[in-house]
Amino acid sequence: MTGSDRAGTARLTASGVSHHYGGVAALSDVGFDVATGEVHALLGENGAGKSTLVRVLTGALVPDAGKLAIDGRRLRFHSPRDAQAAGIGVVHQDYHLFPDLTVAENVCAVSVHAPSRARIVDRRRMVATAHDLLHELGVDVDPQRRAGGLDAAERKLIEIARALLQRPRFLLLDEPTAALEPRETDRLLGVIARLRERGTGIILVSHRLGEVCRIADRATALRDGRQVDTLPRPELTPTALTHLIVGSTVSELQGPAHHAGPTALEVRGLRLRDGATPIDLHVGERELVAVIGLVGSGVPAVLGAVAGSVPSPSASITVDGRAVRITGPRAARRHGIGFAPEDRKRTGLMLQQSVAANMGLGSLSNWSRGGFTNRSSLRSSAEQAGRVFDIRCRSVDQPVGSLSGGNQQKVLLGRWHLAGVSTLVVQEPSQGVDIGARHEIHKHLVSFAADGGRVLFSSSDMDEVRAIAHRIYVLHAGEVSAVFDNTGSERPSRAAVTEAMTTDARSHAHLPDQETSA
Amino acid sequence: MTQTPAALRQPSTVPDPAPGRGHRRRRPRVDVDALFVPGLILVLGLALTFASPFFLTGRNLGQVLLQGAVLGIVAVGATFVIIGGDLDLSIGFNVALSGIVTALVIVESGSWPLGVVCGVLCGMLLGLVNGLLSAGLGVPAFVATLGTGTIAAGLALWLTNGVTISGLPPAFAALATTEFLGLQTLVWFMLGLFVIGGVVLHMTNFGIRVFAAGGNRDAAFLAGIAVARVRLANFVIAGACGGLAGVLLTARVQAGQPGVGTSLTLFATAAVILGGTSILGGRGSMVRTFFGVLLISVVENGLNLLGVDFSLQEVAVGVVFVLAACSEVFRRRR
Repeated sequence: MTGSDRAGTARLTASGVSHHYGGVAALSDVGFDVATGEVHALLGENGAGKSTLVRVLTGALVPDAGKLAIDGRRLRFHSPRDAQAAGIGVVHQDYHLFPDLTVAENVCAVSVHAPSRARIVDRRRMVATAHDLLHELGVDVDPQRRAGGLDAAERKLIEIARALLQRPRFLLLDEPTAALEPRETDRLLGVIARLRERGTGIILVSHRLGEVCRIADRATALRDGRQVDTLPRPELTPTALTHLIVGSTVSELQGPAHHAGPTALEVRGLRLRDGATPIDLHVGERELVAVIGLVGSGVPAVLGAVAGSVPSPSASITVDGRAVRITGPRAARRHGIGFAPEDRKRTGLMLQQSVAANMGLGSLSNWSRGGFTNRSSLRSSAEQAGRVFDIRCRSVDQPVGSLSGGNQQKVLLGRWHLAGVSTLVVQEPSQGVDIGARHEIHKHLVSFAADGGRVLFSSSDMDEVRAIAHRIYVLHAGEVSAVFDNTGSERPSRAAVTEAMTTDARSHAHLPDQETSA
Repeated sequence: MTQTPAALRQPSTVPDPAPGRGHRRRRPRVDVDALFVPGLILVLGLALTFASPFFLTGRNLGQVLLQGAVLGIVAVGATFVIIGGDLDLSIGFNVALSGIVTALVIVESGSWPLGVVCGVLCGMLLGLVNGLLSAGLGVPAFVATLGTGTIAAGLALWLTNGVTISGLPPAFAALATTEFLGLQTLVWFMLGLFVIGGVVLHMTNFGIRVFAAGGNRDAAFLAGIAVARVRLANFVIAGACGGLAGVLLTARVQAGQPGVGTSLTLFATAAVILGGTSILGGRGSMVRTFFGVLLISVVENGLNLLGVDFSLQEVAVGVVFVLAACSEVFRRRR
C-alpha cells in the first residue's frame, strides 16, 4: 500500500547542499540520496549537521545552496507542506502526539488528508483509516483509545502511521528508537523492514549503531557539516561506523576496573505494587550499580525512592549505616544523594539560565555568606568543574540550553560534583548524547565511584550497562528477576541480560542480529 | 566576564558539538536587548522635549517619578512573582484593600503608625493566601489570584460602602509627601524598594532560587530546592509591596481609594513584561522592571503635557505595550 503501488523505483537526491547559520557552516557541499525500497542511515555526532540536513530534506529549511530532486525532477521546498506534497514524510525525534485525543484522531485529524465529508470530520471513516494503517504496520492498538495511555513504542508507531497517511514514497525517521527499550526497538525495526519491503525509501537518523547495522542498506556519516563517506551494507559494523562518525576509534569500557567496597547504601522492603515481592538492593562503597528493566517494570520508582523524586514510605533506606527517611529531593540531598534525571531538558536544567547558575543550584550555601551569593566564587568553581568534565562552552555565563546534549549532561553531573555528594542517582546517563561525550560521561561516572562515590543508575542501553556497572539488578513487573555480577570473568552476555528482562515476553520481530554479543 | 573561554575549551578528539562555539564576539547582543527600553525612553524624552517646553524641567521630571511611584512599588513585588514563574492578578486590588484598611484603622484608632502596620500586614496576608493557594495547594496562580483579587476588590468596596474615607491626619500624609532632596518621600520609597528588591533578587541565594523555580519548576524541585517555599515567599513579598503601595497611596491622596485595582494590576504586570522580563518566568531583572515603570510613566506624563484625554492615555499605554511586545519577538527572532 505505502507507495509500493507505483511501479519502479524512485530516487530522492540532495546534492551540493550547503548552509550557514550566522558565520558558521552547518553543511558544506553535502550529497545524500535514497531510493525507494532501501534504508539509508544518516549518522553523525550532535552538531555534525544531521539535523540541518533533515530540515532541508523535509522542507523546514531552505539551504543557502544545493538541489533536491526526485528522479532528476527538481524540487523546491518552501515549507514542510511542500515536502509532504512531494511524497516525503517525516517522523520527528520528539513526540508530537495529543495525549487527550484518540489514536485515530492523532493519526488522521491533524492532517489535511483527514477523511471528511463537506469539511466535517467523518469519524467512522477516520477510525477505519487509522485501523488500516496500524494494521499495515502490524500494530494492534484500538484506534479509539486515548493516545496518552500508550507506551513509547506504540506512540512512535502511531506517529509513523500518521506520516504514512499521506502515502509518502520516502519516509524520514529521526532517531525513532531513542526512547525505546530493546524489545520495543526490535518491534520498530520490524516495522521499518516491512515498510522497506513495500517500497518505501527510508532515511534513518540514529545514534544507535547496533540497530543501524541490523537494518540499514547503506550508511552515510556527516562530520563538521561535511559528508565523510557512505558505506555499503557488507561494511556496516559498529566499529567501522564509530570510526566513520568520530574519525577515531572509541572503544567501550569493559566494566569498571576498580573493586567495590562494603555496602554503603541499602534499600529494603521497597514494594512497587500490591502482592509483589519487596525489592532489596544495596550499593557498595565505590560501586556502580545498574537497575534495568522494561517500561512498566518499576525502574524509575526504584531510583526515585533513593533520589526522592518518587518517595516510597514502604522502603527502609540506610545510608552509611544510618536509617534515613527520604521524603523528597531535598531530604535526599541532605543525605548526600544527587539526582540526574532522565529528561534533562524538562526536569534537569534551567535551559535559559547560565551554566554557572545551573551548576551551583545543588550547593548554593557553598557560594554565599549570610544568604548573599558570591557570584565570582560560584563562577570560578563552575569553571573548575567545567575543566574537570571537559564541558565545551564559550563561557560559564552561556545559557545551558545552547549546549549540546552531552555537555548538558556534564553540567548536571557537574552540579553534584560541586555539591560534593557521596551518591549519584542517574537515569539514562548517555541518552541523546553523542559517542564521544558518552564515553567521557562513562569515564566520569567510573572515576567518581573510584574516588569513593556510589552510583545508582538506570539505562535502556545494554552496552552502557555492561560498560560501567559492577552489578546489574534486572526488574520484571515490579520485582527483581535477576542480579548479575558484571566484573571479572562472570560478566553476563548481552543475551543473558536481555533474557532476564523479558522473562515472559519475547520480542516479536525476528531480524538478523549482526551484533557480536560478547 | 571574559577570563574563561580558553580555559574551558580543552582540546578533544570530538568535533565541535554546537555550531557557533568558539565565536566569542556575540555577547553584546544581550546588552542591546537590555538597552532597548532605556533607548526607547530616551527617544521618547527627546521627542517630548521638542513637543513641550515643560517636559525637560526638574519639576516635571520629579512628577514623572511621582506618577510612577505607586506603580513602581507594586511592580517590584510583581517582578518576584513573575520571575518565579507565577502571576499575581490580585496585586492591584491588594493595593486598594490595604489602603482602605489603613484609612479605616487610622480613623477608628487615631494612630497612623498602627494604620501603616495594619495596611502592610493586610497586604502580606493576602499574599500569604495567594501563596498557600497556588504554591501550597497547587491551584494555578492565574486562577487563584484572580479569585483573591476579586474578593479583595469586593471587600474594599464593602468596607467603604463605595465612599472615599477622609479625615486622615496630616502627619500621615507627610509619610508620602515630605520633600527630601527635591523628591517626595513616596519617590524615595520606590527607589529604595527597587534597590532592596534588586539586591535580594540578584545577589542572594534566595534570588537564585527564584530564578530557578521560574526557569524550570520540576528541575528546581529535583535539584533539592524548596520550590513551594520560594513561590510562597514571592507571593508574600508581592503582598507586602502591594500593602505598602496601598498605605502610601492613601497617604498621598489623603483618602482610601477602593477603585485603583484593575489598572494597577494591569500596569504593574505590563511594566514588568515591558521591561523585558519573561512572562514565562526564569528570566528578567529588577532594573528592567524599573525602566518598564519609567516608560509607562513617561508616556502618561507626555500625554498629560500634550493635553490628551485621560481615557486615551490608557489606550496609549496599551499601544506602547503591544509595540514593545512585538519588538521583543523581532529581537528574539534575529
